Amino acid sequence: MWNIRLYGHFLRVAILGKAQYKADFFVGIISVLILNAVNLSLIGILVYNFNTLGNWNIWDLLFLYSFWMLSRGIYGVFFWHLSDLEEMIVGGTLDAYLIRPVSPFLQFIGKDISYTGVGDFLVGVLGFILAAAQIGIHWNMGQWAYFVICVLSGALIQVAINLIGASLCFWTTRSNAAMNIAERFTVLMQQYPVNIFGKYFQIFVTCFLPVAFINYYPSVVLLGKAAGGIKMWQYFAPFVAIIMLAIAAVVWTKGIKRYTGTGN
Amino acid sequence: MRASRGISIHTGMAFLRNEFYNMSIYRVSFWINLFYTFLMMYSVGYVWRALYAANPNVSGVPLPQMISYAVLGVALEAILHPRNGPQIYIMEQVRKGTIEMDIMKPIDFQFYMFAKNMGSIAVRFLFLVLPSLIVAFFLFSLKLLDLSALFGFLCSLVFSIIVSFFLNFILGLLSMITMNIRNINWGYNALLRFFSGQMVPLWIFPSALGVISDFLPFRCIYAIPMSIYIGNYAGMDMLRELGVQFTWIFVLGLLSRLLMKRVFARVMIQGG
Repeated sequence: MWNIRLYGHFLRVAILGKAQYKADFFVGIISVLILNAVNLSLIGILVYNFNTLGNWNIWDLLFLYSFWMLSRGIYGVFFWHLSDLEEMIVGGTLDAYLIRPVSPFLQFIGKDISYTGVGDFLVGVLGFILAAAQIGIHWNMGQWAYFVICVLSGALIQVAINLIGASLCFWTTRSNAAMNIAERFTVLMQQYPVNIFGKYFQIFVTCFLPVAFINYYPSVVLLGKAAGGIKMWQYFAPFVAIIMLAIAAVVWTKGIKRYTGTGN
Repeated sequence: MRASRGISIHTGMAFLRNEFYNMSIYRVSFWINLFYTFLMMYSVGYVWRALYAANPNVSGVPLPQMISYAVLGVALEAILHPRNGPQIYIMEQVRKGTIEMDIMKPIDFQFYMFAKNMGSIAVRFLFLVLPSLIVAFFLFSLKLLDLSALFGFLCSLVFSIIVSFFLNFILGLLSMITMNIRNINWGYNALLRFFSGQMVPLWIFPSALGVISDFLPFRCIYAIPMSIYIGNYAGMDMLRELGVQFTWIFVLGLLSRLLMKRVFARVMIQGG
């Protein structure tokens, strides 16, 4: 309980720090909106001409994209600075966290907050409303609950992947290159339905780097897109999130125990 | 290029070599970029396959050509690397306050930046794009060119590199005035992505957007060389498009020289 209150306090400090740069805030949000508009328009032009992409029409694809944006927004606001870990280890600023009587992890995730995630989340909400209206979804309470749980699991899967990536730098000192590719890979995968990329690819993003559980499988389930009926394991996004978080927690704990600082 | 020509080219080669050594230091990021470039080619190829599976006749271009077009778009982006071109180098030098060192070198500043840029382009082409292109070539059985198209394509590629350089250079000059071009650079790249035909060919754009892209220089960077490659522009069409590129080079070249003079005058006054 004390930890949660402390985290809230850290976040308040971070928000106050950000509030000093108001112009930056608006420019940041607007850039995110433009980037998403460009991405969506390009996909829109493609699908407008060809009607469907692997059995997904334009509104299904908007649904898929918005699903990802919702989870990415939540992840982004609270965890965008995971990639700062490399700089903190190289620069030695992480050492300050180790001598305070609070968990270093709590201090690290509470150190910053990011507004680009707000832009992503807004795009997600707008896109979802539009897509839901066009597709005409009629969900019962259970489906709505599943939707909310899956958005949260998607955010947690992204947290876990990036935390594992960032923690690599306890061993290698450099990790941003690896995080960068994981990020670019995720961005690429989330815009298109995974089934168009072939079987081996689908196995890779399901079992090894489970980014397909961020938005693809939940969308398959909620829109009823599975060709031969929905299989049990396609519901598993929340479990995948829990497993990934457990792995991430182990990696972080091992890493920070091993950490001795980059100085002598 | 006020210095005598022989010296300029010689010096240019030295900068090119220097850039090669600079880029060959970072091995890990090299492997990651190579993997990413190939992954992009693989995925755009599959996206087009999936689109054509539903509607093979929409775009008016057969699938193998469309895949060549898309793969080439990825290759060109990896070669030109427009997000992190000379404009970012200039901005960082301005912010560190070391840009005078570059300006005062006894070589034309624009030529210096061009030589540096060519160095990184050559390195990226040889080590990043060529290996992934070869794999993609066999994976998608891409098509090779006949001789006249090849000649046109190479001309167009050189023009594309120059247009891209001039636009980036102008952005770099802006950074000498505004100090920060991160957001401008960002917006520029969003426009470039949209209107250049790199991801989505311009001929399937709604007509109003297509007209806008006709009046912008961005399609000189991607759409023209890529369309020449797949044979969409041949004969007179090809010459006309090369002419469009050449006109933009002339306009942007003139603009960048004028702007450079004015910006330098300002920087000199401020620097005292």
